[in-house]
Amino acid sequence: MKKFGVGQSVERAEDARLLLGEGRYTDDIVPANALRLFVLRSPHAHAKILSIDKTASLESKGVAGILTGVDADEDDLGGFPSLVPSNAPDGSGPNFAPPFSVIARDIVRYAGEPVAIVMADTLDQAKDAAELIKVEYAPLTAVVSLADADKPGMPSIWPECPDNNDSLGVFGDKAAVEEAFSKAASIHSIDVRVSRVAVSPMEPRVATGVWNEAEGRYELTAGVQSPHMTRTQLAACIFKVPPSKVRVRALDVGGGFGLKGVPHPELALVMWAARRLGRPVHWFSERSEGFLSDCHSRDHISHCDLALDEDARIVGLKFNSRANLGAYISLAGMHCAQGNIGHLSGVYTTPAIYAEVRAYFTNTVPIASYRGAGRPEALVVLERAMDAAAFDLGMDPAELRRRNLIQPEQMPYDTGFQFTYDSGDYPVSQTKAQEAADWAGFEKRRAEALRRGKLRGIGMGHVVEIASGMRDEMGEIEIEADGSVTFSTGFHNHGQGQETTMRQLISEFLAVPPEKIRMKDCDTDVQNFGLGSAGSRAAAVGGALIKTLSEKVIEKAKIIAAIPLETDAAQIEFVDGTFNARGTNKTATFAEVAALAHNPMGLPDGFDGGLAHKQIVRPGGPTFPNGCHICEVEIDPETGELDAIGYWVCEDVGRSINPMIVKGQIHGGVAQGLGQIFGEFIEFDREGQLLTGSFMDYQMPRALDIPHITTISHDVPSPNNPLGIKGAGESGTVGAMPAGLNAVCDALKPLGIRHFDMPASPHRLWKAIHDAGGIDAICKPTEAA
Amino acid sequence: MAFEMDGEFVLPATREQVWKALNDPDVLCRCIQGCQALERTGENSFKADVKMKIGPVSSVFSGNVDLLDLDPPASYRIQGKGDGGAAGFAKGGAKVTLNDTEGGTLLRYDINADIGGKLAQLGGRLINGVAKRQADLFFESFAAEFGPEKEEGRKEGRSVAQGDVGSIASRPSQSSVRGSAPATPWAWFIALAVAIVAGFLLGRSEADTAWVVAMVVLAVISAGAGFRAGRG
Repeated sequence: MKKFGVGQSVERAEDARLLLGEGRYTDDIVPANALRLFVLRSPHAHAKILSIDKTASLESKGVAGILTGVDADEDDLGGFPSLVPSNAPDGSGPNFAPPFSVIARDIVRYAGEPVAIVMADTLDQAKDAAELIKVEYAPLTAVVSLADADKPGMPSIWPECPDNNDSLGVFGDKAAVEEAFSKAASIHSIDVRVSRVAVSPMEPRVATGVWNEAEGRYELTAGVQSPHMTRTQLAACIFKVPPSKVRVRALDVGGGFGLKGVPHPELALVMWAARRLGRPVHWFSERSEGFLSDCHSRDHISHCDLALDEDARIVGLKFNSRANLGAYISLAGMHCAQGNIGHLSGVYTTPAIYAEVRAYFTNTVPIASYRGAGRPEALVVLERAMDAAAFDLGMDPAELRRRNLIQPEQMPYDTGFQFTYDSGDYPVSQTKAQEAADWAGFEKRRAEALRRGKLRGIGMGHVVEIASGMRDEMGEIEIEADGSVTFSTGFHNHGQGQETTMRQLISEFLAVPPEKIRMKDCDTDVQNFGLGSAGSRAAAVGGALIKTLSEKVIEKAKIIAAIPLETDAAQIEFVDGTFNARGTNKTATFAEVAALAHNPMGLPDGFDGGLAHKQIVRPGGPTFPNGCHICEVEIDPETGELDAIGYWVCEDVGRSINPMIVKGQIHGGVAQGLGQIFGEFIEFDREGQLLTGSFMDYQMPRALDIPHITTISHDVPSPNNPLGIKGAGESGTVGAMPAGLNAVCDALKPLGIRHFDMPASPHRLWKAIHDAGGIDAICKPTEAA
Repeated sequence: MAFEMDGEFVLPATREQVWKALNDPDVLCRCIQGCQALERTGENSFKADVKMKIGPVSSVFSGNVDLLDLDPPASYRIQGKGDGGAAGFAKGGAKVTLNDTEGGTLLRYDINADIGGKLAQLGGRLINGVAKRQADLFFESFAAEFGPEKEEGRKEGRSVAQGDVGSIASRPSQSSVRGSAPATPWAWFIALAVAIVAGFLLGRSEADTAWVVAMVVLAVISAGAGFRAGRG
């Protein structure tokens, strides 16, 4: 194992910079002459715009321009596309997919939709001017609740979609499932609401647009996860120019979580305004603005029926879900609704699965991806159904799971539904997690808590999730004349530690110390292709990429090294950073070879000079990180306050590049998953006004809300890429949601409560406990134990 | 965001006196600080532009109000909406009833309003307290209308009988039995909305302290509005 190579918990190189306030975020490098953009947003969730009077506003101090939908029409500005197609509810063809508008035209469809943009010398001037814009609205009835979207009498948000039901996705074999259900010994049904949440990255969304008049080209610097995909969408869909006419780059990004992989209106607005006004234009979201205008996530109402045989083995699963799209379909809106429905297989041998997913428009900000992006929406329902079945049968939920686990000798395992799992040892993961959590001793702890007047619960959640589903990625390794290495790729670090892990990979293959490795900014002018960091893919795909690039570079270097070593390239071996001529004691260092490569006079025929390699790689297949999560909670029935006691996870992320960073990813993921279970919840009033629009009302988890997380590894390398890496970005969140929710439900079980919907906020818990008769229903207060 | 509030006050006057005071348009502009324009848009419809400037924050709040179901001197309904532009909007109404009671007249109001935009997003947990206090202050002052200091207060009251405003405001209120110009009843409604908008505008810096400042300012406005109303 190399000192800085794969498998080492090397400290994160980027932390010193980021933690000391020396990060280079988009907001840190705003051009001096940039105008500030303020977005005037609709206060109505659904209304006609009758008129916009900007006369007084244009005369306001410092104002350089005001643009509205009329101007957008003039410039034929488009909207963002939906990435995933679906079918219309009646099966008549593709679903209706209105472009995600960047500025409202004649109708506003969600509270917070951009209605006008004001550009001024300072942000305060832009805000002052925005207050002088007079917009006359004729309010329309808003469709707010997902449950009510297609009820009779509801208005249509889009005339093309009268009942607001945009699509129906049908998956699996219905006949096989019906057959299985007809023979089942027991059927267990459950309804689960997967609540709507705000992503809330630490760095709000931000964008700077520049119009390059000399080249006739748009330039965008923004906190985005995938500059290349963003460029494609901006060029093709918004400005209708070739991608080469748009440059997008991302510097430091303070958290992406899927939100920043989805293009938002303001990216286009700064570029458009910059072109219109001939000056750079900068926009930085305020936190309350983010609550209103960042795409939200999750928001499903699902029903699941689980059919078991006499031995409590799953014979069939039926799933029926309503998914919220918001007012438009964001890039990932349909993907979150049905793109990850394959996760209904879970870690179990389920012979037959059938699922229907209906997606609805509502007068709310569009739904997009958030850590997991459809995975937890499916898995939390499956794992709740497992616990509900155990509740009905009076079984230990861990035992019910164990009976149904896919066995390691069955790998690779074709679920028969959508996925083929690459590898994993689910029974061992469960055993290790149960031992760590002392699952067997829990009932004693429950009884002890009850004597103290507290409700204690334990919950398990098995996660298996698809990672590195998007397999292609481009990268380039350049060896500088001094022997140092420069690496660039479409991947981009937004806090996960990729600067460190990518350096470790290069160090592994090229034997170059980390301080001699530099990462270039992610810039579409540097790399002409990339898919970016998303879907837990950077480690698995990046590992394969860097391995390939390194091998190609070494191959070229050997041709150069053959000159000083006075031999044939085939006779040269690369060992620990040195080129050796076999059977001799002649050696050449990497630096010597690199210097030669940059000296055109001495190069072999046909050699172009320099030492670099650039290409796109595609590893063999997707990977399936997995793990068994256990959460233990205690609830005070008098106040509804929840105390998370402990958390244990046995994870399998395949081979780890940096075990410390993997643990950090699991920890952060678990915190985000538990956050949604314990309190995060976006709520609108009946008119579509956002009620949880600040951290005063939106219960973001704090450090004290998250228990100590014990992470155990049982890594089984993936056969689907050369390094055996599976990925670690999302599994923490995907596993924490079912484990946390099952723990809450288990705590309420003695009251006869079979299911409780997230979030487990104090008021909701107190009400559920109170409605079930309170703690006195299960025990008389006794003297303290 | 739905917003509901009700309350009642005993006023030391007869129902007729209360009704007359409620329909005295002079009180209107004395109640609303920064009243820029007040125009009649229909028999029982009015429009007002009110400018609020507090420190660096300035916002023009436009309100439209209709008076409905006039039943003098017993009850009426106010239906209206206010538009604060970037700050949001308020719409809704109030039912006001007058009943004879020991010591005078019992005035009862029930407000039902919907608040939207930034007001709803950020003001949710404060709006009830602020609005209640604003209404309490208004009616406390209104009650003082019938007290011994009434005459002096009137003398010191700001005159609004000028320009467009005056042409409406100076209309004899006694003739408004059938609702021709009873502008006063919605004065407090607008003032309330303006105060709330102004407070939340001030809070837009999102710093914790801004909320404290906003609350203090709101209290000052509330007191000011109540005081002015009292002097009417």
